[in-house]
Amino acid sequence: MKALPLKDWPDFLLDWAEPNRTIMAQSPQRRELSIFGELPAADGKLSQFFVGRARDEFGTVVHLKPAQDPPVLGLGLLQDATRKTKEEEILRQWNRWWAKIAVRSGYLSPAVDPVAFARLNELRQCDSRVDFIVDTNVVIGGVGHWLVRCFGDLCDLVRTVVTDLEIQRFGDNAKWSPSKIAELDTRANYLAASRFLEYLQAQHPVWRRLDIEEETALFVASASRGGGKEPGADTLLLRAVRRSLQDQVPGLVRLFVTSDQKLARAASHDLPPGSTIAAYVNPISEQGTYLCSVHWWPQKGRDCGAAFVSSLADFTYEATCLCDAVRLVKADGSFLRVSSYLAGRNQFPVDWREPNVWVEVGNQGPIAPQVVGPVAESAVQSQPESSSGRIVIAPKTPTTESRAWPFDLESPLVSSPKRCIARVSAPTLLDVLSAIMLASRESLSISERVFPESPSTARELKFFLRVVDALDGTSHPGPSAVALQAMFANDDTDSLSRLLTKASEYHELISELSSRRSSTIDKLNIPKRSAGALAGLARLLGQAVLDGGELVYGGAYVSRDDFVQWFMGTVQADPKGPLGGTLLADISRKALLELSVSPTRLEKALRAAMEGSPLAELEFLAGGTPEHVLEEEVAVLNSKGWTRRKVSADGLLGYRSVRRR
Amino acid sequence: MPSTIHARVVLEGRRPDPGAGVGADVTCVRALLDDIFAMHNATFQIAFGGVDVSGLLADWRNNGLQSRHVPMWVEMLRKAAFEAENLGEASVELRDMDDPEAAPGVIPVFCAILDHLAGCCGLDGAVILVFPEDE
Repeated sequence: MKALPLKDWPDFLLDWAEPNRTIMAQSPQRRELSIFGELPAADGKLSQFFVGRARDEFGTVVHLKPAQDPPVLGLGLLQDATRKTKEEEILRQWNRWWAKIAVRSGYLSPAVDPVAFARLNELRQCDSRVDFIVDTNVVIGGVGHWLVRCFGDLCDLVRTVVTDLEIQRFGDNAKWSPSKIAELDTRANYLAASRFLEYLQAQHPVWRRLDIEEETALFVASASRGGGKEPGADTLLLRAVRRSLQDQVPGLVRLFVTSDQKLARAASHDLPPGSTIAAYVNPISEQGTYLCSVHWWPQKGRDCGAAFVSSLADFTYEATCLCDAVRLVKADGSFLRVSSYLAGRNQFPVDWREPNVWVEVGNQGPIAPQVVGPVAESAVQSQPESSSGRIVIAPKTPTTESRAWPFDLESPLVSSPKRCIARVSAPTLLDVLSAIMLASRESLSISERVFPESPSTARELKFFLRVVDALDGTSHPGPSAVALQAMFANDDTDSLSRLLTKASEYHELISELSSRRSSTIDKLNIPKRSAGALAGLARLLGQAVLDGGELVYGGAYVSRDDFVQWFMGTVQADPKGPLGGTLLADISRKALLELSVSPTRLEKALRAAMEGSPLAELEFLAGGTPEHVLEEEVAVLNSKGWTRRKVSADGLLGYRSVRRR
Repeated sequence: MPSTIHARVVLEGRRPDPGAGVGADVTCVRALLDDIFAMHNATFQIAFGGVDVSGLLADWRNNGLQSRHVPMWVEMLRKAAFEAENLGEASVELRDMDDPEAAPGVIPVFCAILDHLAGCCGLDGAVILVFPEDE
């Protein structure tokens, strides 16, 4: 673990990425880095999750696509009727945090209305001196960073006691090992706000306080309340801002900047027209977004504009407001782990005014993009106690042993199915199976709330679950529930599918598909009433793929040796893709038709076979033209439940083609 | 297909302005984007799939690019830039003046300018493409 002054961190990152780097005279070379975050899971151990990819070590373009199910969000634990709404709220909050990180680090601009934007442009072009009076959201969400980046040589920043009190309260309520999104939010708010107050990269701006005459009222109200903003705080804030605007001297422009919609609305009728800038930071899309490090702003005397360039180093540093640590991983598995504090070490004012980052260099072996889940038990080591007194576990370099071969079921079917014609919705079934798995771990009964509201649908689902032994005759987990724990923990959809073939209709579907290889759904010997739902279940579990209106079997067993031999032969036989390689889209289709292995199972096989086999001699490439491909939404099981993700045959493990080195 | 376009391109943003009439210039960013379309023809093709780039540019020049469509454009361009082996070398005018060695490539700069202009123009505005001889 090495301490680096923040100003040295960008160069350190560039040197690590390319030790023989020379001064750039042309476009940065494409050298992709994966970005992972680390946050505590429910058990307090650090869990690693995917954040995105950077095109190169400069971070010229970043594909920000944070995992939507890191354990700290606790999505797998939501089981009541309001689950969907809560889940949406949590994900919105999570994705908004990543937008804030992007704005703070200069990768994204806030949303500003065009009139206010034009006003800022004019001020910038005539080099006016500006005071920005900011509210707390501006300090946290990155709008303040954006203003300083563009007006750094002209502006000063002004805050009020309302902001100070809010930040203090975040600090008082912050838990340093958050176990749910609300705790993570409070901690990140505190860190993000404090950092902006303590350390500005631009030299010119100074922080000033705008006094509120009725401050005492705020302190009295604060002392009598547990949390939240004091009543009337915003009114007092706007009153002070109004006085300040009236006091502005010629040559100085004062503007009130807020990211709070309600406050902006109040300001629009409390303050003089044109003096309020409402700048919002909206959540990034769940599907992710591409961001560039460059931003443009008009500037006097420079041909009307100038580019402001941010970097991957900035993004990483800002991400440590949210994450305990951030990992940048090269394709060969070597990584750089960055955190902004060292557990057990006292921090002094100089550490905040002149921040350090703590970096660790290692190698974790080739990575699989978007790996989500707890860091393996064997891959962690204990660290000194953190300031909160808890033991903090940090990941150690995992071993590079080959992964276990994912296929071990020679038959996808159980031998003696039980008669069952119940119709079940695949997502609901997986929801309830997750609840059963969790309940069996805690020896609890199953809450009625996890079942559908419709009595007849709930009855059919319970019947199905009893047939497959997941539920006993009452509301307790059945004999299969213990096996479910391992299936979910290992994302073993094959075993789960096999378990479900205890129900006769699903057994029939898998049996017919495996013998015919492909068929339209209506030609299968299954009652129409349940055929669609069961086909959906097979697809979600990666046992079948819908291709051109036909259901194609994808759940066949293949041994590791056979797979490796087949894969090498396929790559050798068809080197007609870009740069003499073979498109994974073509390989996926062949795997489906020749081996009966679906794209999601092919991905698992590739991940397991890429180490310690002839596949290690191949070069997997990410770039290239998108192809018309198979795309399926599949279930990803984990110890907290399950999530969905789209698997595209064109982008397995993030790669698009493969060739011999 | 535009095999070569050697042009100093001026990008202007326009938005409806009740005071000055529709089409008033609210900002004018003079970005010198020599050869950008020619240099990155392949990248543009990736970004726009089967779209005829020359037709797109002609339409852009005649009618302007609606500012509400800019985010979609920019996202496609950024995706293409992520996958491109070469982003082009930004001319000195387009570099960070404080750190000119940090050449971010032409496409990211171009995206930034488009983004900025669209922000100025609002939902109903347009970003237009002007060649110097039109000035």
